[in-house]
Amino acid sequence: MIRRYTYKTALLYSALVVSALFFLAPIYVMLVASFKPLNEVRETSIIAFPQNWTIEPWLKAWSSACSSLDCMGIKPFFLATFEIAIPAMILAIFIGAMNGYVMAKWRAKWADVLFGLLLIGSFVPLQLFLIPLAVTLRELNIYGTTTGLILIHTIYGIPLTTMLFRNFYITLPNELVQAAVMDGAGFFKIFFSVILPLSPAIFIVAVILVFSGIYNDFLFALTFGDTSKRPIMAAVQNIVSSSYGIKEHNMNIAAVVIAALPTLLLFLVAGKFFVRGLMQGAVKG
Amino acid sequence: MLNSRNKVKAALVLIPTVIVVFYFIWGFAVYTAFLSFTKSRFLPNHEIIGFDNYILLFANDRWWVAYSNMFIFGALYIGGCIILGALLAVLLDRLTKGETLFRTIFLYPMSLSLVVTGLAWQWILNPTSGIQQIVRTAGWDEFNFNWVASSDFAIYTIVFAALWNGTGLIMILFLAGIKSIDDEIWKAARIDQIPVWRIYFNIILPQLRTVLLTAVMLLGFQVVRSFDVVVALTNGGPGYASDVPARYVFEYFFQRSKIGQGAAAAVMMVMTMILIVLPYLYYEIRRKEI
Amino acid sequence: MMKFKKILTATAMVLSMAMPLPAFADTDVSHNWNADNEAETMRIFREKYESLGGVWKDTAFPDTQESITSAKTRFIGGNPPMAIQSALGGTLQDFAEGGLLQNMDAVAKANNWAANVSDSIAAVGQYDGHWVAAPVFVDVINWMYTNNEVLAAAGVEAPNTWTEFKAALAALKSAGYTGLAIGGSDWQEAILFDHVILGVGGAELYDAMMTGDKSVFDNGQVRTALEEIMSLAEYTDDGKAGRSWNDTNTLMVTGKAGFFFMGPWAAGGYGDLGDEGGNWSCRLTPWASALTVVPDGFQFIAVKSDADKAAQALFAAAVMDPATQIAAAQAKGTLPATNQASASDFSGCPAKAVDAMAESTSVTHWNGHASDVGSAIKDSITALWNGQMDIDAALEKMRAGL
Repeated sequence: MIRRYTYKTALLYSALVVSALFFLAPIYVMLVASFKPLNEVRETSIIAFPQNWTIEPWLKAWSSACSSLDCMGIKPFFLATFEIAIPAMILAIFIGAMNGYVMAKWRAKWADVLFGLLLIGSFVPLQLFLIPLAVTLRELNIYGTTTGLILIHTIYGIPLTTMLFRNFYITLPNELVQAAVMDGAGFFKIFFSVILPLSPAIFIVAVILVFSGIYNDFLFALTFGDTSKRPIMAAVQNIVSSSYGIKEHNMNIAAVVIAALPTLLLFLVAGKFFVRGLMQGAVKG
Repeated sequence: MLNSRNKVKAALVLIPTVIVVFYFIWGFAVYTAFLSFTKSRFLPNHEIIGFDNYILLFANDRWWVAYSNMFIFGALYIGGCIILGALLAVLLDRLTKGETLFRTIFLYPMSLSLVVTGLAWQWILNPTSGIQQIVRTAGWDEFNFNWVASSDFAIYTIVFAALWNGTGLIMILFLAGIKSIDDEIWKAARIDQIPVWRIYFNIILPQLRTVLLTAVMLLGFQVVRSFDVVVALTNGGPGYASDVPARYVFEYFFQRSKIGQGAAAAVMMVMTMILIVLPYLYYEIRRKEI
Repeated sequence: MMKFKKILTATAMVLSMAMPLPAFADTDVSHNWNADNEAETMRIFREKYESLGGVWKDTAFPDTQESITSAKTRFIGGNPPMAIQSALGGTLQDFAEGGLLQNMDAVAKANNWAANVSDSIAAVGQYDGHWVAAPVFVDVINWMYTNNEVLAAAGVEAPNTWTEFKAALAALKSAGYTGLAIGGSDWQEAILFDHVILGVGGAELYDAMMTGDKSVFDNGQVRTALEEIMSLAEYTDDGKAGRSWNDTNTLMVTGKAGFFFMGPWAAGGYGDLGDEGGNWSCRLTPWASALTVVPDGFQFIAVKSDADKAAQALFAAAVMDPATQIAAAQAKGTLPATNQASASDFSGCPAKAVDAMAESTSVTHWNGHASDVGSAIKDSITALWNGQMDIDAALEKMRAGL
């Protein structure tokens, strides 16, 4: 019996380890390249460990990488990105939570139709919206401003947050709301004192997904961002794909990794809560 | 529950979303559909020319390559993420130790933008410096893994990179679902001496229909948005063998200054996705209401 | 609901048709000159502009397409850049037809532009008889770069005819080198095709194809060109898929390949190999007496406020100043548009181009024609090169597109 148990466990672990290698390979390759001097990057194998270990690519990426005439590295772009991502995330989550509350607990036929349209609308690719958005932002006089980008990200974050919160709130027993109604609580009071306190788990899920979505956005950042305060992924792309000249692969990768750190850390730290949040009925039927 | 006062409040709450749905999403989508019938080239032009753009679109072999790639990629990506995700979730569920470690390893790729993903995989799959070269230097001279360079196989490399990025979330969804299933069911099954794998297959997984629905929806959104990863990994190449409609639309809209044709392609793409997803969605939502 | 939707859609349509041009806050130039030598070029223009009193704001993009997309979207959004750097020709046609460009006749007159450039270049900066752009550079595209060390190691002489070239490739292959370095994008493959066309029919064939003369399809010349380019495939390496031109240039610099066809921007990468003429050379297509050129410059976007127009005039004056243009061209490694330059201003590869201009025929490169021309060439060649089409299909496609 013990032998079979160990055999199965060994199989289990080896399957997991092989999968883990598949998942780790790219980041290993990238990290290793970012610590090599440029000639080593060109000449040695991508899985070879650096022989002349250097952190210069990282230093350059942080403070002196050039995007044409501005050689400030990617340091300044972090602030700009957070300035956009955080307000947009808060707004999108708040609106999504209220939407989910209404759609899940105050079943109106037309609310379901709205949800359906919202969901299907998510299949429309964002590129199509660039020109109409430009016109709209112009008319609202916020073209090229941070406010404009916040608005855009809020708008296109609402479908996701609505879906998350609606699915979650559906799993909460209707009795909760009914009891509160009988106690004389009003529409909004029920939301703030009954529903919200039960929601921290799904909030974390929403924060993780929405933040990384906005942070990793590239399309809107490039098209609508004010260039001096450009969101970071667009700035990184500028540094990385200089179409002329020698490509400094090691610095490019360092830049890309630095840019990816916030979302990475968010996932690493909040991963546990992410799972817990999902377990608390985000997906129960 | 829905008295007239609350009806008003409910409506008020939903107003921003109504604006989003009808103006920012469907309004724009309809505008794009309108553009597909116009003579728009560099900028939108509202002169209508009927179906000409569609005729040009259907005559373009490049479009058909991109269109069929959407199905190939879509099926493999959605199917692959679900199967791999479910499998990994089951494996993780069986673990007594090390769950956090493995779970983090499988989840972190999701935090990376698709641009980063494409870049990293481009390195690994490169025939002269990536896997092919490594295996060859290790001794197997005839080893071939130049899919990135092959017109027939390039699209599969995109599947690889996308799977790498997307499986983590699906795995977590399934894991959460599995863990939330009542312990009683487990105990009952063990008492009946049902083997472990059977329990998963016949009892646990069928209970996860909602998880499946959510997973399919999320993955479906990604397929349509597959633009980022294609651009970063192969840029549609070699030639246009790995092009996908999302990228085709962007190229015709902005790079080739043929907005009319790009709009037509977009309409085709969205309509196809909707036609595929709608029946499934309708079926599942109706089930929920029962 | 439906009516509401209809009203919204109609509103959106009306808005985009009206396209008024309110004043904007920034005075900036949209461009994609990110590399070292290009940034240097931009710095030279900027310094001149600031010396005339201008205030600079940099708007750089990863590449031309994104710069153009942004300019377009910003224009619609009511906040256009003051000018956009781009190849002139097809792009200018697009912008002008879209109504984006500013009439610069007054500035041109005040600064005597017509006297400072040749007539054909002046034509490039104009639309419908009015000045709308400032041509600053004349990029000669058909360069062949050679790694002489590699050639010597394989015992190969520098080729002067197409036949000699193919023989050289074969010799390089047997010596274990990659004969022809090429990357993996449609425009790189199209640039290779430029040289093939010149090899099959010289400048006449090139110009005929680019200007839509179909007789060259009927007499089989284009077909020969397609066959010839496919015959080069065996001399390229496996890693070309998706490879950028700079990484391909690296193949040359590290001594793995012998020949490389690319525009003037590649020359800057050979610094490690020493001076031109020693371990490496740049030559215009040896088997034809032709220059394929693309005029490069700044298009001026229509702006409304007087302050912005003044800034535009300043910038225009700065970039069209002959001395500034010459200095900028030297930094970038290309030729200035002004006719005030003398041969002694140049060294290295640009000098060879200046010499060639006197004796060779200049034809407009596909990138200087309307965008459909470039698309037709790129699409057909990339499909053929990557095995998605056979020669007959590619021929048809090219014929239909040109």
